[in-house]
Amino acid sequence: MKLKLLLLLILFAKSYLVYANPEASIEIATRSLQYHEQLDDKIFVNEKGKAHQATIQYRKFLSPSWHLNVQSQITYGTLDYEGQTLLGTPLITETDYRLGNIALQIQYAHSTQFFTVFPYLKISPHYWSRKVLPTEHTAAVRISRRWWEMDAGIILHKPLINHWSIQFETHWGISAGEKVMFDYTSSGFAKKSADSNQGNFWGAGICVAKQFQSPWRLTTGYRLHHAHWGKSDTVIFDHPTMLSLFEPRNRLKNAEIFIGLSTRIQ
Amino acid sequence: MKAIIAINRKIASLIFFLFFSTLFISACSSGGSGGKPGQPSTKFPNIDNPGSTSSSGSSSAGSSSSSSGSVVTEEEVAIAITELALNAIESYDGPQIDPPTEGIAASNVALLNSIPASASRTSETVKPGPCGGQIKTVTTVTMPDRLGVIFPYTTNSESTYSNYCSGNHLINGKFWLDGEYTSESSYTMTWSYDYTFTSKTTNDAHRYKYSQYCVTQNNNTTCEDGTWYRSTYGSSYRLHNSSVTKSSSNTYEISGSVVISDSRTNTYTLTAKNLSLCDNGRLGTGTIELTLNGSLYMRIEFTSCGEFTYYADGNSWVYSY
Repeated sequence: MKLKLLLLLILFAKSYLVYANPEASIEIATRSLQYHEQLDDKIFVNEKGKAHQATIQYRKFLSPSWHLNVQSQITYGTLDYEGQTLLGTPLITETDYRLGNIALQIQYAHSTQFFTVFPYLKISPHYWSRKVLPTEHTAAVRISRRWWEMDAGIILHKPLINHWSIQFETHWGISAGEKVMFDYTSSGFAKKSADSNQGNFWGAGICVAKQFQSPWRLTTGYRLHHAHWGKSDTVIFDHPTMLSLFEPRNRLKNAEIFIGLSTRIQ
Repeated sequence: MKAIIAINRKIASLIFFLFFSTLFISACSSGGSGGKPGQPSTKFPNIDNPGSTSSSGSSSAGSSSSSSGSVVTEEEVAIAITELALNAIESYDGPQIDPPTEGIAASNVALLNSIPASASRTSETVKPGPCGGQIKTVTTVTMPDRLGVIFPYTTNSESTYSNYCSGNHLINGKFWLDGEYTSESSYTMTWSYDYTFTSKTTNDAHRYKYSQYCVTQNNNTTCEDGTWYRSTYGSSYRLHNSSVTKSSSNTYEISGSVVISDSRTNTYTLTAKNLSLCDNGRLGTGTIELTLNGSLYMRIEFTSCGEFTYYADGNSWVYSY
């Protein structure tokens, strides 16, 4: 009897230890981006293009049910810019695009007969820089933003045969505390920043994974992400000329194909 | 179109004149009591050609002809001249000021058109005063729709001063800046303001109405400046190259040139003597004469604080306010 109990404890401990091993993963993605700025229901800046993205993630299993994820992501690329000057003259150029964020996510695993559900909460600070590149007739400007995102999501995970699995994810959240920095220094203006109205976003994705006999797991999939922001406050420059600027209502659409590799850290 | 309207009015005026002259021949020829106080004049001179004056019996026609621009009523001219004289006196009596000017400077149009609109420029700019109040400026620039092509373009801006605090004064009023650029070296620029400066210590208020019209051709600039008045019908009048002197008995003499901004062909000479101010801010004594090429066009006599009499083309009217 004692021996049986000891065996059971060892088995339980072993199973807990398996969960307790953290997981590290890396993921690369190609993003298709479309960014709009809109004023009075008229789109006056339209940016489109591809960007590259790299993500690393560390997952700590707090218990068999509670998981903590720490994620860092960087995205960069050059987009086609189709817009206008401040006086309304049409302008075509390119935009250098940089986006970075760090996320902290807590998720709960609940298994059912058919799949496992992972509801989660996530909080993440973001940084985004758009540099409109100079042309023969126009100067460069850089608009950068910092903000916080808080979102809630849910993942449905379904094991398939031969260690394959599929999962669906959707999330919705709000962005707040945004600061917009207007960098027009190449035209002689000082840098100034403004607060922005909050925005919201939603996303959805599908992911297929293959768990190998080793600790390695391969993932690939497709994600959509749509974000909206409101108009920012107005900043006023008085040199070299009187000028007041604001970030208009804007929208970012993002679709990405990704592939990733993860492993349990022994 | 304006010419056709003017000709038709002249024909209509002639018919009216022939008809009414048979009934009221004595009234029309007396030259002493042609108009009632406060009513529009019944005469419609072409201000560019005073000799072409015609008559009409319709006062409403007088009002509508004023809005056509080049044909104005004598009453409108008399009111304008009076207001110009008052503006000149007010500026003379007021403290020396350094008027603030707002608006997009010409060189900055090229700058603004070189900045991508990755943010949006507001048409309104609000600038707080250093010690309170604000200036709100609305600017419109119209230019070619091609990058690298700046000219021709126009810029119009209007700045509204609301208790704008500057030094020891609060400023209320408006500033306008209108420019037409055909090239970097050839352009016209008009700027005008209508400010009331109120001293924060004495609470004294002085109104300044001033405008400057400059023409630049091949970097050579010539300007006309002075006080201005815009009639309720939209016609603009400017008194420039003016000089004001004040006697020991507190009467004023003014000399200068009057231009009607919508037809710059004629410049009238203004001479004012013995003008005195009433408590109600109007003129109570003195005369103002307007001449063109040495010929008297209009004479205004101030005999009380509530009305004046103006004479033109052998007729006279009384205007009350």
